[in-house]
Amino acid sequence: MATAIAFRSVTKRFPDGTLGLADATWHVAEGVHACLLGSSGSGKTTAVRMLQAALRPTGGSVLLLGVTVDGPGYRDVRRRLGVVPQGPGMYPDLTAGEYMALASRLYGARPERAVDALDLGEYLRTRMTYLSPNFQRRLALAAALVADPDVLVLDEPTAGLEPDDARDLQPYLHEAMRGRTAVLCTHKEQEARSLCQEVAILRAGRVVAQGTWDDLWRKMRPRLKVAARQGVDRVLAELAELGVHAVAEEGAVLVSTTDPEQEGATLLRRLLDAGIDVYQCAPIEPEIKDIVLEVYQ
Amino acid sequence: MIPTEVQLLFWKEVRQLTRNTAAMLSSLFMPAVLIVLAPVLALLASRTAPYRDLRPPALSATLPGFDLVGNGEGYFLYITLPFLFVVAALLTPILAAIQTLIVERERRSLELLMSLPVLVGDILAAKLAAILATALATIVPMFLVDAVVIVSLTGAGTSYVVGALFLIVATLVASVSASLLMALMARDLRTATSLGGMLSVPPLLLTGLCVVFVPGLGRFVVLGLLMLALGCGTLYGGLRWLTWERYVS
Repeated sequence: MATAIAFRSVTKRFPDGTLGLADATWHVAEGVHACLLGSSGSGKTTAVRMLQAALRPTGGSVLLLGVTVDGPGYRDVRRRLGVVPQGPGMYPDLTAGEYMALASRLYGARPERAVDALDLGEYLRTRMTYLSPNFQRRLALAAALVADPDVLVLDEPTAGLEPDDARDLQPYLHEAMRGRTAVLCTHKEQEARSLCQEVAILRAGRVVAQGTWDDLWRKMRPRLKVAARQGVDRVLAELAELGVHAVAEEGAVLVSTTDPEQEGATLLRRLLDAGIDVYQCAPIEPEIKDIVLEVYQ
Repeated sequence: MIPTEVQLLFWKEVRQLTRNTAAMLSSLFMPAVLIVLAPVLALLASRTAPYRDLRPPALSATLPGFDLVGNGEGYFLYITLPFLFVVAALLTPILAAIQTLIVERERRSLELLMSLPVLVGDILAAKLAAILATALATIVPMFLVDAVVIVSLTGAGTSYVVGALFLIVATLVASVSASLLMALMARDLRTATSLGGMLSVPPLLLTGLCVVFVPGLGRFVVLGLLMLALGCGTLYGGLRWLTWERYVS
């Protein structure tokens, strides 16, 4: 499968010395829905801006549909890329229709299909700042879809929206991503899981893990969540006596294990024998933060 | 050839600037006062006896720039008016630049613009061209009113008008370049306003030097060329050392 987006050992250092990306290498194959997952300041938006040629890498190279970003031929492939920016501001002196007209002329396409797909028809005469936040995001999405792009990049599309608005936007995002390469930048794990098959985890500008969700889960050691009436400290003390490493989290204890079925049963029996009233002992699904911690350990 | 992207963005900028009442009023008010109102009233006043008989101080008469300054009218034409032209041509683009360059970044609509298939260079080129075009469209017609009054009321003639027009256009170019520098350096409106004031100082110093030391109509040519050089230097320096990345990061 051809590569739609490739970051090859990309480093970006800003003039003030801040490191935006540090030797970041990741790629997205054509047709894949990938997620760039990371907290605020991890380098997601820097990566998007590099794809837009708004920032130049200090080292390494960025390729879009096989063409070096900002190199010869970039203008042509740029028209095959749609970008939805993170929480964009709106123009108070332009209507939604005027903005769509500008986008469609720049892409060399007609706006009707995208306007219909995002149900924006009756708002084209509305000034952009008068649109509700949900419709503002839909407008940005419509502009990105005007030319039916091969690659769609969504930079935190639901950030700053009320939960209801974010939920309303989800079907549009699903539909927009269907049938094309899509990259979703987000810090919301649930959103990433529901929309993407692959993930790259960014932390402080570094790609700390990447692959399909299954790839990442396989790399994780399963964990047991243990809770008892006597409290976390008593459980931790007993586990320490048994030579089991565990950590406290949210009123319970997390125990790393290689085989939850075998080790879980043994652990439970030993805790009960020690007089600890265990009321919960179950395997838990790892979260992204666990993967990041695992990588760092 | 101007890229299609720049052309499309240019018309968007022009449309937004002309729709912005505050920007238009501030762009119209100052040149109207400095280029039309003050000169016309002063030239009308210069026809009265006290103004005509006004003599410059003896010391200044020894400076080369005062060669044509024999009375109040000469003083106004060759000393005062160049300053008024320069101030008007300097400040009009900077005020428009604050609206179009700095406000765009502050309200985060720049993100929206960058999401379209354009380069940051296209965005800046379109904005600067729009600033220059609207400033020319504002100032040149006003200056033509001035020119009619100058030619009909004084003995300055058309060569004075052509020289002054060259100075105005060259100063507009310098000011648009300064606007770019301001956009690359300032992170917010307040800093931009302060920077705009600071960036006006070098052109005003040059004006003072040319007015005092360059004789006759040559002051318009020399000062105009210096303004063009300053504008080109600012543009080159800004893009070479600051880079347009600063506008988006």
